[in-house]
Amino acid sequence: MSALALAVFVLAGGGVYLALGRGRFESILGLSLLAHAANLIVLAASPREGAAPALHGPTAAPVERMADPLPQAMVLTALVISMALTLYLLALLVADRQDPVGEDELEGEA
Amino acid sequence: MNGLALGLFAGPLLAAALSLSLRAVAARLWVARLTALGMIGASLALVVGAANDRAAMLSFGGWMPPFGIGFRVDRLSALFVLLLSLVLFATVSTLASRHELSSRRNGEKVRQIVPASLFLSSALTGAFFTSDIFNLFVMFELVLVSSYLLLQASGRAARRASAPYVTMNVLASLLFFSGIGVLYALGGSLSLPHLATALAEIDTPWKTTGVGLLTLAFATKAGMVPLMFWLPQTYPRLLGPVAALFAGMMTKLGVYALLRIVPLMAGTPLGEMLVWGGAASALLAVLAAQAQTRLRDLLSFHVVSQVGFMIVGIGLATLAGITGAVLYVGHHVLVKTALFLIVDEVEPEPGSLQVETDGHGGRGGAPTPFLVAAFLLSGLSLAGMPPLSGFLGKLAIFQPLVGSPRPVIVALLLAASFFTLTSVLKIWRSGFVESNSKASPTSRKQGLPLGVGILVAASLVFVFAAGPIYDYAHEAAARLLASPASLLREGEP
Repeated sequence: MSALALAVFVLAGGGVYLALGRGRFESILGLSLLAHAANLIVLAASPREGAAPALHGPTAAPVERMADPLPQAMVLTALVISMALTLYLLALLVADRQDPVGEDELEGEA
Repeated sequence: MNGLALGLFAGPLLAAALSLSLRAVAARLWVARLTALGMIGASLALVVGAANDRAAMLSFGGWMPPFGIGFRVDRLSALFVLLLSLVLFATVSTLASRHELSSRRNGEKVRQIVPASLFLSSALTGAFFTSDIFNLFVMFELVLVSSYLLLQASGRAARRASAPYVTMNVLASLLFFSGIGVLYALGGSLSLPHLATALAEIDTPWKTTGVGLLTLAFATKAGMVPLMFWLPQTYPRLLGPVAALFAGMMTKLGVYALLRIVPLMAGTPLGEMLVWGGAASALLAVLAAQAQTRLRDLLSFHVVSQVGFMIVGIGLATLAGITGAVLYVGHHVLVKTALFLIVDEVEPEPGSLQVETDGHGGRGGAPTPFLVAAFLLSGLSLAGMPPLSGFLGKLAIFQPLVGSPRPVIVALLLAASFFTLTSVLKIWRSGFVESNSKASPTSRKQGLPLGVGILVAASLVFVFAAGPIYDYAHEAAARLLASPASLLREGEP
């Protein structure tokens, strides 16, 4: 459990450092590290270490020893979302680099 | 009732898919108009049903909460969806009547905006209906993705300005998600009523942490000072009707989510923080609005200021406070969307209308008498002039404050109201008075645009049906604050 906490600490710390950095690319990387930190926090909500997988069938472990599958399902959903959004942010960055808008234009065309 | 609720969620989603398959802009616009009209009808029926305690409850796949995900439509969600339908209809009909369609490039923008705004409506409806906090998170993400599409479709400047918007929203979503993790570990459920029941018996710092993460995330999305800097950077650069849609509904999603987690906040200092944050927003944002030179910037800061009023009501977490917040949301959504549409209509070039700075600014087009009347009604209503719609909301928020030991909050809110009035007058002078003398002929359609007309008419309902509307909001607030255990007893998802 403390390993998990340490991992969250490192990911969140690195994520904040990068997100506060100067470059936009770095801040996107930072956001994606922060997303992983959030995922680990949610995983920590099913705190049974060494629990059996929540499987149905003849080889299934008794319910008391099963891990709670819900946080894992939530993390799976969030992983997909955060990956898609990271890609979107990267695409925005590329689009801006290829087609820069000047400050004047920014003021004029609203 | 259940069929209506499902239709309100699935209808716009299917319509978005249908409009994507049509090539012509006009056809897409017709699909959107019909969808919006259908949504208005369905949500009116839901509001009436909810007012008669016939709430819709759906549990998908037959799994009852706390195990399955359910929709639960009460007074609050029905009201929000009704507001959404009105705003969608106004946006779409303005898009259809506008000069955007004149050039090929603008036509292409509208072509993309229509399916994206239908998709947005579906996601917002889902967020208003769901009773499951993780499902709320997913709906939030769907709302965000469709708002990114709308940003993209609004042109290059909007795309360039969207980086802070996207970044802040991604950050807020991460806070939201972590908060869900903490609360699930504490309460062992994701269904909001079950979670509230479980948390009511827990008193550890972790509860404040979990609910605090959610509060922070929702306050960011609602645009509370000091978490609002993304808002005035993005909104003014959007295409007029899209800006109206955003100003009307997007921040209100944050407000709605804050309302929903009020029962979770009991026993934490978060309510008190919201009261102060809301009052600070109300005043600071309206002061910032005074410094703006472009009308759209000014209106965007007004959004922050008025969300502050709602947040004060939410933070009080009393029956009267929540009633006030609900009434204020109802008024604000209609009036704010109308104002954005009116300013967009009056501007000769998008974003060109300046607040007068040297005594004879005012480069507006030639507003028709109907537009002037619509502006007067919404502007004065925004400032809280009786008997217009804003007055009811402000009265309901002030009532519990006056007499309570919170003189500073009352003073902040009163000052904010005063400055709102002065800045409305500022818009009036620069956009509507000066220009009349040197009316430049514009190619705009004359008369009152249908979208603006509907919104103003709906806000006038607040004047003529103040009693029933107040009762509705009061009952919605009472249900929200009712002990979660009693909600569970109702036999429900």
